[in-house]
Amino acid sequence: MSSDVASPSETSLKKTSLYPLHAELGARFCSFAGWALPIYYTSILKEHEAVRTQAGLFDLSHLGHLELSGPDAAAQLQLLVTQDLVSLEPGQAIYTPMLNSRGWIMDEMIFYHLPLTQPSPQRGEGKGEGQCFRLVVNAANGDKILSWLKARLRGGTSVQDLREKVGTLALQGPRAAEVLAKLSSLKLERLPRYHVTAGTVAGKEGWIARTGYTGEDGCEIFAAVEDLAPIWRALLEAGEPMGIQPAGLGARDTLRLEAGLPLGGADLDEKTTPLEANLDWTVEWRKGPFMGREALERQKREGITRRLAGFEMKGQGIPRAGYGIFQGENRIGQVTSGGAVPLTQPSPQRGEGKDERVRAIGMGYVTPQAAKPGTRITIEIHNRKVDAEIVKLPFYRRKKS
Amino acid sequence: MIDLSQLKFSKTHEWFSLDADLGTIGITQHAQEEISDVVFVELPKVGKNVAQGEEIAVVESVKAAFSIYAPVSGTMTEVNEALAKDPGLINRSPYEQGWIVRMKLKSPAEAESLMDQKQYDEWVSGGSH
Repeated sequence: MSSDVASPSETSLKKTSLYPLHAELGARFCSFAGWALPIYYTSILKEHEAVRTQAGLFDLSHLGHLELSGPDAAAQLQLLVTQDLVSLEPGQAIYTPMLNSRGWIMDEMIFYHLPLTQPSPQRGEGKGEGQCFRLVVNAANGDKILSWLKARLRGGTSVQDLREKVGTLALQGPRAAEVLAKLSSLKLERLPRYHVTAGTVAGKEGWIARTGYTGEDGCEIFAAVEDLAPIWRALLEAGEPMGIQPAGLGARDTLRLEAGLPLGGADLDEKTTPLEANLDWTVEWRKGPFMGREALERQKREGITRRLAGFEMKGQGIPRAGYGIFQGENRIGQVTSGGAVPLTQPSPQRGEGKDERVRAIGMGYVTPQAAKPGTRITIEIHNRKVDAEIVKLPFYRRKKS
Repeated sequence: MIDLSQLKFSKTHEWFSLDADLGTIGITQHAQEEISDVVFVELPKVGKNVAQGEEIAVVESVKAAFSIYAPVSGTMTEVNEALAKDPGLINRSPYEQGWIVRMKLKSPAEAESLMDQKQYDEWVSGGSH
């Protein structure tokens, strides 16, 4: 048996403050962006299902927190992202790409406009002045984004690096609110989607945001690194009657794939624009200038040559990043994400004679003509061309409660 | 229950049982724990000739694709068709219902190069896999 997945040589990797707790829970670790992170505790499929039907708890300590504050922070940051930050009210959050001058995605992140009228835990030194944005960036990109921002922000906007001080736990799933309610005075139902508020969890101060990366309801908790372990333990204990499971990066990846959410470094890279990546909705054309705008306008006029699309396997095989996408003999693109997810509802695309528990899905870049749902394609898996069909994203949409 | 002391093991985590000149191949308990959640097995064609060490099947878990190698040379005589609809048999019953292929050995002497259970357990706990 051999595979392209190497066991991490854990000595050379950074460990999160929860590492001993993960080991105690029987986690298997993988290496991700320089960190040793749990890939799963029991089974990726089981953890995926727990998040879809009950609740799951993720350690996201590897994500980087940066804080930007100043009298005119919103107007300054407005120049560097595609979304409209100026009209983002305190307490609101927004997902946005950050582009370079060629319109390519350097990173994508969530901006949280922290409400300064509230007592603000884990603030940097620039407290209390003007507007304050918390930025949560991909682990691999922390240094790059930090220096990018420092070089470009004007008007007294300060950048604080909170990466060593603050970490994230994600509590996700239909019963997440119920679990949180046992340890916090915050009623998650009262916090609208994509909003953030100061709050306490298990007696520890932090920020609670109704955001996530699973396609499920839930929240993300930002707390001081030393408080993460007690919060983690308390949530797992309080959530036991609700079926909470610790969940690893494996389930995080299959959940976000099923929810049609692109992954930086896989589906998005520095050669991709938001228009190609189905992120048209994140580009606020009505606002003024922003980095990359001219390049995007040009691309909009000239048209894109490839688009990110979702597909489901009809034949047998599991698509993985890097595999070719074909129409007949023509290679029309490449898989950027793929895998098997639990089959929760009958799927018309899925063929016969396969594992009855799962369906195999993926995303990749294809020609815009081929990106239409219903297009028949093949994926080259271990030298075989296997039938698949382009489907509408997302693969899974949460039922509104 | 299968008697593990009667099996042979490879460094690439296949197990191998021999009955006259017919061998059965699967992956070990340790291997199935490592790869977790098997969701597809790409099986060879019956009649295919393979040399020792050659790839004979691919086990796909949610995590990744894993190649399975022939512990000995020979000809495929049977593949486990039950794995098509229920590849999870490899996780639930790696040494019995989760067997992968059967083959007729070219040279039974090749099996001598494989490890016994004790050697395999030491190999795994040595962490050098």
